[in-house]
Amino acid sequence: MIGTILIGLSVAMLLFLLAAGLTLIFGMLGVINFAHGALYMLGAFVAFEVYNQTQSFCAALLLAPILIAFLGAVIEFFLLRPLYDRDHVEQLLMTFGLILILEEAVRLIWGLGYRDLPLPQGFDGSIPVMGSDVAVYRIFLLATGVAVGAGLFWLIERTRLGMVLRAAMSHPAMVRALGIRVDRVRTVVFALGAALAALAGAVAAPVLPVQVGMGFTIIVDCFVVVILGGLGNIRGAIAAAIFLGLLQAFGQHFFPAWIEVVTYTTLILVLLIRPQGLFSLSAGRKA
Amino acid sequence: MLALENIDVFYGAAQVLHGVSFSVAPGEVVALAGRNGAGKTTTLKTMAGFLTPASGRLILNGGSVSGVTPEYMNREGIAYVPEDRQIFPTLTVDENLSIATIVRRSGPNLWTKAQVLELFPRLAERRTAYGQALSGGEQQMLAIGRALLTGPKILLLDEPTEGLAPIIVNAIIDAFREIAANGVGMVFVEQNFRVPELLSDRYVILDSGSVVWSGDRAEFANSRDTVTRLLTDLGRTQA
Repeated sequence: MIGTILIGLSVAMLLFLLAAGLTLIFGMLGVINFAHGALYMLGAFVAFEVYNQTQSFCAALLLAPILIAFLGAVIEFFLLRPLYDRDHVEQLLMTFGLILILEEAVRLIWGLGYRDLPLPQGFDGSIPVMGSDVAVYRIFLLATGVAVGAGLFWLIERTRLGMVLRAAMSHPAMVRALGIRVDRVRTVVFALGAALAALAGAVAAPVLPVQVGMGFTIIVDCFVVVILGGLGNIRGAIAAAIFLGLLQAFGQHFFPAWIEVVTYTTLILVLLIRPQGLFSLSAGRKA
Repeated sequence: MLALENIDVFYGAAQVLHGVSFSVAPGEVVALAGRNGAGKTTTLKTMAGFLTPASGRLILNGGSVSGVTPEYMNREGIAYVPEDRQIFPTLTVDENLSIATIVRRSGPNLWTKAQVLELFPRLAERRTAYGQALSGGEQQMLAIGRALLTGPKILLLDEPTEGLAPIIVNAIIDAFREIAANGVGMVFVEQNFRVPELLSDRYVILDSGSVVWSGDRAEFANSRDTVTRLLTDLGRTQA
């Protein structure tokens, strides 16, 4: 039982890392970033490459988010910024086009085969937790998610950037009227979202096959998390990620054939009955 | 000094302002009135940098600033208080004020948070309340206080007393007197002259996107019938 809960929570933390970036980008930029999964995939490949060059998992974990954050800033500045005043369809097409470009680039550089990143030393065993054997790496995933979640809350609730972010989510024009360069904040937020996606890719690399298309599988679940949590709502993303992680873990145990049916039925019901998200506390309080 | 010179503004194909000209200097209070749809808010948004004139010039301190951004206008001392106040709902009163101080500024018009809270004591009592929990009057005080913290030389106010209880209107008028005494210029947009009459040095009336009357305090006092006619439906039918 406790083992299943920990598996569910570790899956939830991976989903949260991705969904947090996705929901932040939507809240601040109003863009639904289809390419988020491709950034996750690229993060995993960059982590693999850094590990190959340095044999250091720490370096992979650090460098992948930094490099992908830089790429995210470039994408926002050159490709998304000209589209903010255009129709959402054009933004969707742009991010969809990015998936094709990034996946093709990965295929050209690393090929179509699977890549494996070994579990870092010290993380390859398991420890007994209340009668169940739990992989140390799952505990690490859980801890990473909790640490990032706490960091994001600190950023959003306690820093000037977070204050601007919360303000711009409701009245971006008014933030501009206070002299603040909202365009720069958007670049920072997209870069941060890309870094979180890359971090998710890097921490997933030792436990999931690193391959072209790996982003597509998980990004669908991430959209479910973002919609259940409420678009632009970080607290909601955490709650929805835990909900979906536990649903998948217990589903695997008790109703493996029905996991997807239950997941997407929940999604459809939420979209029909509570489109603002299952976990939105109120219309205003989003952070 | 902020001046509009023969400004034309369009929303898509529709022309909203037709050759609008007037100016406001630091310390001067200008009332901009007109009926619904006269172009008052459009004029204010143009002065704040949100709209780019199709022709004519927006002049700030002698140089053309047509087409600059709202960020630039604010950093140059033009502060804007929109009609819907745009208080940040998920920020506390204190944060709504603090966010205005993020951009580093200098100059004689700089207000401190303590001064703003002294000007509006009600805000001091509500410092930890979220924006979405404030009453209309509190939101208006906060919107004005927030604008003051950007160190404005000129304050652009869109219907600042709209929908407020008389006692709150009186408090806000007192605050405006104090703000003007500090050398801040103001442009008020109002549908009528009830509030601006108490404060203004100059009066401008817009109708269908054009300036149809302007004058100083003495001219205003001598032209009450004309002004009343222009601000009522009688004026529209006669035009």
